[in-house]
Amino acid sequence: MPSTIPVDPKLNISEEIADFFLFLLNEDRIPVPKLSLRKILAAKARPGLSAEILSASIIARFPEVGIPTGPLVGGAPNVMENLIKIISEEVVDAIQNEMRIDVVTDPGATVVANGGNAGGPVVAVGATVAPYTGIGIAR
Amino acid sequence: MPINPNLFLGPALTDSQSELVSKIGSMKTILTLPSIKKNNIPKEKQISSYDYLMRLSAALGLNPEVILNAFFGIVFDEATGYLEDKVLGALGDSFGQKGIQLSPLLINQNATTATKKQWKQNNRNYLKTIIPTNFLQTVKQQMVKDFMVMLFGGPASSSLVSNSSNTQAYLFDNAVCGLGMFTISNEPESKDADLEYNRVKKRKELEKGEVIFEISCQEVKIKLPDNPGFIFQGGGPNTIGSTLPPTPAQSITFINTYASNQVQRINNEKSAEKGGKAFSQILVESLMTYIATLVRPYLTNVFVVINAQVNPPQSFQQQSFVFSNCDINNDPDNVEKQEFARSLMNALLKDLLKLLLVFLIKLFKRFVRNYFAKKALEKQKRKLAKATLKFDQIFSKLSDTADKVERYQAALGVLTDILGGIS
Repeated sequence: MPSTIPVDPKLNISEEIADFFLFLLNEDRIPVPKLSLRKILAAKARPGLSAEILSASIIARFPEVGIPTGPLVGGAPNVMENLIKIISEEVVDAIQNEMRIDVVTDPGATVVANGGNAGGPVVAVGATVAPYTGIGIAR
Repeated sequence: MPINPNLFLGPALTDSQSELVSKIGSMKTILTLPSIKKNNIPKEKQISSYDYLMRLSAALGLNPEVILNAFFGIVFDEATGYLEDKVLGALGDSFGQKGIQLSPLLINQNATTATKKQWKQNNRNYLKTIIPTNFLQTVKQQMVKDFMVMLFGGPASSSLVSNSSNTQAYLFDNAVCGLGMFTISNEPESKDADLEYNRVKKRKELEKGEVIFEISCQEVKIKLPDNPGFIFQGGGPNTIGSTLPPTPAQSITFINTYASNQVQRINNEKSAEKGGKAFSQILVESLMTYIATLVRPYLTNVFVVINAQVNPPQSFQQQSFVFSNCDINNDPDNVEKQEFARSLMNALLKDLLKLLLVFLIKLFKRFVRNYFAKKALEKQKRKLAKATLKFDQIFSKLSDTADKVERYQAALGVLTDILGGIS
């Protein structure tokens, strides 16, 4: 049964408290820095995704959470490692073969065109007026 | 035992046959998973703000005792008029709820809710101009003694009150009536009959002086020391290295330590730190329920001043504005009787929540900052480790156009010491 004297409804704010703390958590997150043009252009030098390297990186961190690596006692295979390998292979395969990347460029890209007519060479300078789309493949 | 690879386990499936069966299986599993539900719990059914802050405090690894002790320090501080301010606010509300504005004097029992709200605020402001802000200063230690009588009872507690039997009976009655009066914590649902049973039980415990508290999920019987005077006057085990007697808040802290020691003595050392409520939480929750009873005996002079100051002079009686826990219990639907206690209890709760929130926000911000800093550092370390693993540093020395042989030689360069020169 409820108490004889009720708590002021304005003090029932447990949900608001949770929302505020979640806000604080979000506020203090370090935002992912925007990549410079040079870094984006250098992306073509990246080696691409590798299921083997991914699974090796994950397995290398097993000791951090107390999971043994390598064959288990008695030589039994470490099924956890195999599972990670399968997951990595399937995830990388899905990214490389099924993922689609849609690209859009903002309007306003500078366009310089050269041409000529009877009067001589003509240089035209302008800007794109509409956004343009493109596609990409994740590797 | 190794599995015989030639063992016949059924007709073999091709890749696509097996893929289809697996996909249907996983789709069926996904369908059986419970769909995401947004729990829309009504406000009154949600966890109380106080309980939630206690949970947050535990999750952050903070012992709330520090904050609760600070709260006692504020409430019973003899140097400031904190409690006086809240009491005058509650009195102003009580007058307003009865349809009375003190200055200029207006009395209308049929005043609208909005008018009453305005008059309550006017009364609060007015009372603070006519009543000294420290009118409870000299009785705060006695209030803490009364609080201990209400908590522990027993024959030993009679030495803490002046007009022993009457005062003790008043405090016992109100402690019993205070059960279920104002709960800041989410309590399990209880029936009227349970409450009545608990009241009878509580009275017996108080009279015997062996009150059972549920501390850290265990029922513990705690008795006041045979001669509890030293808790309030200093000396004995309560020596604090000063010739001054303990402050009211120090006395409460001592009682808290005393109760925790009793728990440890009765059970084992770990018990005091187990889950469930610590004794300091029980203290603060009890204070909320008993506060109106504790201040009630010290308001006589306040009414003398009010009656003399209002124009024209009146003869307002304290017993018409400030009611005991038992009066309220006997007439639970009378909102006017509840007003003083309701206002005072909620004002204290508001400030307790504020104190907890300020403390926890500060702690949480520090925790989050440290967390992200540590994660960022770990990320950097991992990145570096991966780069080393992939010989990025070695490759970076080469131009992008370096051919495979050059890259191989550079990578092998780290082993030169062992393998010797590379041909």
